[in-house]
Amino acid sequence: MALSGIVIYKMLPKTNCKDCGFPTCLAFAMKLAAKQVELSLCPHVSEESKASLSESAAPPIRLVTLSANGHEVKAGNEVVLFRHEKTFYNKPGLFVRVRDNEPAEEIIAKVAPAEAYHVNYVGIDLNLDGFAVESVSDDPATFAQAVEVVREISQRPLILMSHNPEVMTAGLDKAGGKGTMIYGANDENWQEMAGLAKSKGASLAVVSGSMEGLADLTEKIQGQGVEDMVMDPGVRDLGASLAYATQIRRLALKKNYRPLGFPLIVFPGDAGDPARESVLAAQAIAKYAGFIVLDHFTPESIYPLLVLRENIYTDPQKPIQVQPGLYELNGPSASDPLLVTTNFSITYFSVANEVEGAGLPAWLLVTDAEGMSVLTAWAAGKFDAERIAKDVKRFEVMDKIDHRRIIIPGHVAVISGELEEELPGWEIRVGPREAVDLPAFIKQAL
Amino acid sequence: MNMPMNRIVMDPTTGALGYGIEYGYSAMERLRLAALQGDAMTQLPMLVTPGYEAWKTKESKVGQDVPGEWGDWLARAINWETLTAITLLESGADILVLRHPESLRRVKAAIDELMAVPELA
Repeated sequence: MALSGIVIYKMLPKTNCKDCGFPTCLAFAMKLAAKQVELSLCPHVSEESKASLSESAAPPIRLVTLSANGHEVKAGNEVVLFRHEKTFYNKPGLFVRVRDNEPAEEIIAKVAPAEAYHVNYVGIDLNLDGFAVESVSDDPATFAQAVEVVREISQRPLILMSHNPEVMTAGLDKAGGKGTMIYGANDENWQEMAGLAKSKGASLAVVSGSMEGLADLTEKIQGQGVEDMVMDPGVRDLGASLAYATQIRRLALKKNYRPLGFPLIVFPGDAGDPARESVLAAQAIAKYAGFIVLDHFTPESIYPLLVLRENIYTDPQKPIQVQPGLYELNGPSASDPLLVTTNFSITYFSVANEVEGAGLPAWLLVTDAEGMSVLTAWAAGKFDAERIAKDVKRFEVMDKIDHRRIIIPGHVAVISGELEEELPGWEIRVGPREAVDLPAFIKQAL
Repeated sequence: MNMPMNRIVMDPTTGALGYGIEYGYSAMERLRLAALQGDAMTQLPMLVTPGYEAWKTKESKVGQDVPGEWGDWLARAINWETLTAITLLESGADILVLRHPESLRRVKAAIDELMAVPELA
């Protein structure tokens, strides 16, 4: 929570000496509140004020970055409880877990497809972020071996899981320290784990069964000079996960409660059952998780989760758009129908989905409507006869089709007259209002 | 029109996962917050139709000539409906209309888990 100008003013010398370059301390305070200047401009601020002001300037939830070989995944730096208040910024990382008591072939069989997996969604390429390696053996050599096997296949960031500092050290030697996450520190081992995190430049997961326990540990570990932490409140069912995630986010944002100002790491995989794991993962995506560790990887379970992550973390003020252009649906020939619509992703995919799903060949001209849906764009003057005609020319539609007939969305029937004038000699047909009616329209009305 | 408030529900007309779910999701969060802050008109239960929306999608309807990354058709389709429903549940849905019995089973189990209020420590 940012401090107001008045509150900041009270912490300044209030001498109006102008050394900072501003006429009064209040003016300087206002600039500080707006984060437009640095506190260092004032040579006279007390040490105490400096400390409290820098505390509040830091983001309420620590940004933790896992990185390896050019791959990065970040969580934290969130400022709202609800995406509609502004947006969620850093998509939760999705990781797949293997255990060191699994034979190497099994580990490879799990990691290789997950590593290679990527899927297209509205023109965006989606993939997983990394792997978690857990030590069940509690043996340093076995753990190191498992980490090595994973590293042979994947260069992505790793989460190493063991409560035994010796085992963790062996794992870190194979994984590399910087950019790796150590899971985890608890009441018994926090000093050693903090030491490891510090010396290797790794981030540290803190595990405790209560918020008080977490706060206590993060403060102690911060005292050792480790700042990059994530938290695991130890809950694994839908009700408790929601309660803790919400309460922790609320405390961090509304009360600026620093000891809980760190991203969360969650383990839907502990559910055992893949169906329940999906449900827990979906909740985690919607409700504040920073790092999500799955045990099951199948394309049919990961694809919807990747899409959900995109959806929830879309900036509500910036609609996703597709590239304007002439799209081919089901391999159309020159005599097949020409449709036109806007470049809002959902609009495009609703139309394309219906036509493709029905197996009908068609050309789809997608105009640049700044990512707005049909009616919205029309109301804003971004989807009209002039623009459609312009894009017909821009994308050389006439070179691709041998007819001169265009089908416009039903919601903008009103522009058909204008479009006749903009495209002389063309037949303007008014299509259905809803994409779902397109197949019937194409089959029966053309 | 003298229709009593306790016989009216709201359908915010949400889209499926991947097809606009976040618009409905945020509308529902705002409605719920307004309701909890005393706006009587928004204090009506919310009904959502993930069954209808999810089974309209290409991911659910089409099994042939789709990307290999989409995986097994039936499992994917059920996941699509279930995760659409679970997400809307998290944003405050009170009545969910589903289609596949397996989605129903999963969502019911989720609701039972959510209704068990934990002691926060």
